[in-house]
Amino acid sequence: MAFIDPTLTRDLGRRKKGNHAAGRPPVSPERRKALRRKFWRETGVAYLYLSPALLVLGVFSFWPVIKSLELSLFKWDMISPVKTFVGLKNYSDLLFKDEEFWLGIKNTLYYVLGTVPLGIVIALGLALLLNAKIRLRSFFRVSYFLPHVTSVVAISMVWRWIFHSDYGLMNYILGWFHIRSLPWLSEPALAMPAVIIMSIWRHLGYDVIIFLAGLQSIDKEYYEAAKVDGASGWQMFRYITWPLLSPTTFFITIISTIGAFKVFQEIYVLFNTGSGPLRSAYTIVFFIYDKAFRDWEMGYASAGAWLLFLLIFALTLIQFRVSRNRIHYS
Amino acid sequence: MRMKRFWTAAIVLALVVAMVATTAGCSGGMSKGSAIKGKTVVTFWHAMSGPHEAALKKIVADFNKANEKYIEVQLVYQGSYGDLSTKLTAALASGTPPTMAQQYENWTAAYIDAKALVPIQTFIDNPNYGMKKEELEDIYKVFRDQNTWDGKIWTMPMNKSTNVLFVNTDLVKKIPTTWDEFRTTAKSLSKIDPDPKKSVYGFGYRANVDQFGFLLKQNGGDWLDKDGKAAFNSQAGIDALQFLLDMTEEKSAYRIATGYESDLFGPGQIAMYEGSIAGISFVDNLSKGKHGWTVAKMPKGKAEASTVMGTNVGIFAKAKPAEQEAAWRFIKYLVSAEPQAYWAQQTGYTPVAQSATKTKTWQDMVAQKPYWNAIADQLKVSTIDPRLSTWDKARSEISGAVEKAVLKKATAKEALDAAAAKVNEILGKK
Amino acid sequence: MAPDAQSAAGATTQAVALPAQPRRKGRKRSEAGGRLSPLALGAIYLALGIGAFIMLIPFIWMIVTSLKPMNEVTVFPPKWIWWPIHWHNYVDAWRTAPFGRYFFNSIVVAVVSTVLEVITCAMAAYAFARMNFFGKNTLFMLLLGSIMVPGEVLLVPNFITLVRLSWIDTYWALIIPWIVSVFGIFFMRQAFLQLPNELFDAGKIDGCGTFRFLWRVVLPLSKPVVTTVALFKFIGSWNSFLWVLIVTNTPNMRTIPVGLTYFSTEVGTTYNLLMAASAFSMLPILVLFFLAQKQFIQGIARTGLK
Repeated sequence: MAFIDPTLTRDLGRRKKGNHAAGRPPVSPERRKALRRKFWRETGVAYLYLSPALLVLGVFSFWPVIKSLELSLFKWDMISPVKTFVGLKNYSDLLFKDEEFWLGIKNTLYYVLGTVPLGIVIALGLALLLNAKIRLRSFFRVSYFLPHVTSVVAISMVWRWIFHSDYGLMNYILGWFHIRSLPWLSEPALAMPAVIIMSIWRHLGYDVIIFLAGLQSIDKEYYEAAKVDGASGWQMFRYITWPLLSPTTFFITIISTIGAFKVFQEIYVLFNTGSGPLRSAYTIVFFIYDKAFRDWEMGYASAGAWLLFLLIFALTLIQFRVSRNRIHYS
Repeated sequence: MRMKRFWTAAIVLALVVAMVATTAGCSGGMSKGSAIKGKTVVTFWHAMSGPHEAALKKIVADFNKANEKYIEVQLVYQGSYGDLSTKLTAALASGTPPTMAQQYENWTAAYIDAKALVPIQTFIDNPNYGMKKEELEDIYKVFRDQNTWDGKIWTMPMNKSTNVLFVNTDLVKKIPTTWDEFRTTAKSLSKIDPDPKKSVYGFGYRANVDQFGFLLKQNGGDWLDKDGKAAFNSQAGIDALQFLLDMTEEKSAYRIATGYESDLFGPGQIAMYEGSIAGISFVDNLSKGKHGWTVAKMPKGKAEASTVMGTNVGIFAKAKPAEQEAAWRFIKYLVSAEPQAYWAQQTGYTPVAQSATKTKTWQDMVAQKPYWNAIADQLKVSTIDPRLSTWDKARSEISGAVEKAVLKKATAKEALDAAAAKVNEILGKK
Repeated sequence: MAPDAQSAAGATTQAVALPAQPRRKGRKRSEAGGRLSPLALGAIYLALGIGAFIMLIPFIWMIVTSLKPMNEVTVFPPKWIWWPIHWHNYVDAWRTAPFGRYFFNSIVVAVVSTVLEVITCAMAAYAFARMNFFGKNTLFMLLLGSIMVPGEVLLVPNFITLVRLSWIDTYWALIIPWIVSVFGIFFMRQAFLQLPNELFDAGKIDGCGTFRFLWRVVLPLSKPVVTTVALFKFIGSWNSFLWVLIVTNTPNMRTIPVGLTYFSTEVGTTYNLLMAASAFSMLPILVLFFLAQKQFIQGIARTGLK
């Protein structure tokens, strides 16, 4: 893999520097040998630490993922023992023939762009406020976290009512401010925004908690020192909070992007097992689910999943690249 | 010492063997030709929740009690139909299906292709514990047809429903019987307020394949022609869809985007809707104290028509012969008169056996709820939808076309023609 | 070890140039903004209040619905006050499915998998953050990659594995596949990376075994992060539905989300009972969250004082 995780290289670099203590003359062959031995010893210890995780992930993640790669080269309905090898046909069909697949990609990108940046900005703002010394802090934290706790099924039904074009709570409240009723779930152009609103609402608490954990790991003494120097609130945010929070921000961006690409259940429930008017909220995982469990085309579904994987993977690499020099660890 | 113990053990063992052999010899399992020896446990995966599950449990409990020595049916609730389908797929993929399960016809078609099912016909034909001709013909023809592939009955109808017209009797004084009356009634009931929240509509519908299907068939059309090619874009189909569009345009019909029709029917926002009789208990609960309601036959266009829905029960090939037989015995009991009458009474599903309507349970129920006569009448003119494994996919295309037309992204003809082309492609693929 | 831990909590970064740090004198509760002007404080309350209202309104609706008779549930405009209040819905909901057993299972599964996950993830994260080993980059991307494939296509292969292991309808199937989360490893690794190097060097000098060092020093210092990972795991486990349904066959092995499906059918949903059941099923998590969120405040300060 040409790519190297920037945070890891930084880490590796620092480690190496530690080993070759500064100002020491070029290492002798014996010393190099010793270092190599040390490296392999550490490798052994590291894998010991990794073994429980790798064992479980190996069986329940890596293995089925590889299995699905294999399946993507077959035509298989899952219920009969017969698999037909079709080579890369599933992939070429998806890419060049299947409009639904592209519709799914398009809608998913819309959803990702609609939820991730906005969600993070709102979450960061809220986390900063919730980190301030205020009364009722526990109450506020619980309120913002509550949506993340509930079962998707029940709460999506509530949202179905909230969004109802003519009899919904959303339009009822908009009515207080003399805003015209909007046909949230019945108009194709509004279906995805409705899903986005609900998703941000649901995931906000999650991001806020992670940001709060991140804010807690910033040493308060920086702020003390900055205050002595007469720094403004904005300056403190800009020069202390933001850079020191960057690992957290980075983490949330990666995790929420991956999560957002896999959106399915909210839509499934919100539209009563449908995908919105004129499939306006038909996402890529919806497509994959349909192919696998409605049409019994497991090979085709697996190929779709792998294309999705490649897309997310490429975007994640870009995110790692772009943020390479912007993340500050200790 | 050790020898002695050995002999004691051997004698005891011999005695036990002899005893088991004689008991088995005496009773020979259940009856002549039966594969059931000793107690056979069978599993039945279903998707019935709430009152439906309660009724099913009672039927199973009665059956288990009557066959205490030989058969035990174990019910396993597997979530919604979608969940059940997913679970069955996973179970079949790993070679661990249950003995029997509820299934829609398009699943059955796929299971038959995969050789996962054993045809019910083999049990029906069994001379010892099969069904007599009149027993079989007691099951409504429409349901028998629905479960027949290549001249063989593969599954048995279980929770079947038909679609009827739900009517708010406080608003609707005379129940419409024809399309013209229906449209006039709906129009006269619709009160459109500038504030949409206060509006009442004569008719509420979901822009999907089912609603279009009712109209299509009432207008003399059908989904496919004799060669299995899409025929719903015929003039009959186009006119049927246009009828819906016109009603929407003149605001006598309201499109429901998501949720159930009964959600709006209950509080009186829509005065009529066409839907499954399985929804009766929800309509009843939601309308209680608000307004009266009843169900009637759907209005007729060129013909009277409705669609039957619901699932059937099939037996999996992987099960052992004794289990299959035990499952069959249960199914045979399930579709007999008394359990069917009870089932209908408790759930609102239609009985699948005609003799159920002769039972006291049924007659008491009809006396109390006369609308059951309308349901029985509706059932007589109900037909089935195609049962291909790819039909679900085709359905979603047709739903898309109906939506497109209702949202005015295409005319009725354009939308249906495009869907027909897609459906032909889907059906041709197989 | 204790003094080192303290200095560790104090010293943090070289990334931003700042004046030399004053010695920590004691527990400091002053947060990002320090003391706020009344105007700013008012603005914060207003913003948080409006936000909280938006966040809570679906729940208010949920609770309101859970106390209504069915025929009032879908009425519009919604009635916020009505009489009599149907407390009995909660009893009816509880009786609809074997919720007692479901609660028991949910708790067992959630607690066990949370504990195991914290252990496995902490160990893996520690290796990634603090050790230099062969294949580190590749392995890390492999982990991250494994969460990019949608679970829907993994369902059937995993089911087959469980059948081979004879784990269907056992606690094993509900717990073991979920005791590692890439999210947890990633998140803890980020936290461990942020701990100062001096701490680890000190650990080495003290000759503290790495394993003991991880439990005694690193984890306590990362309390907010550990709490977060544990909390999210608990919630994830609590709400997991499709997996539970697929790998179990008897009510004895099922958990709360399966119970919630009992209220819906193809033709309608018993909204009031569903909302009642949803409300009581999220109660344990709310209590847990109340307890956990204190950790976000106390985590660092307490270890600093030790």
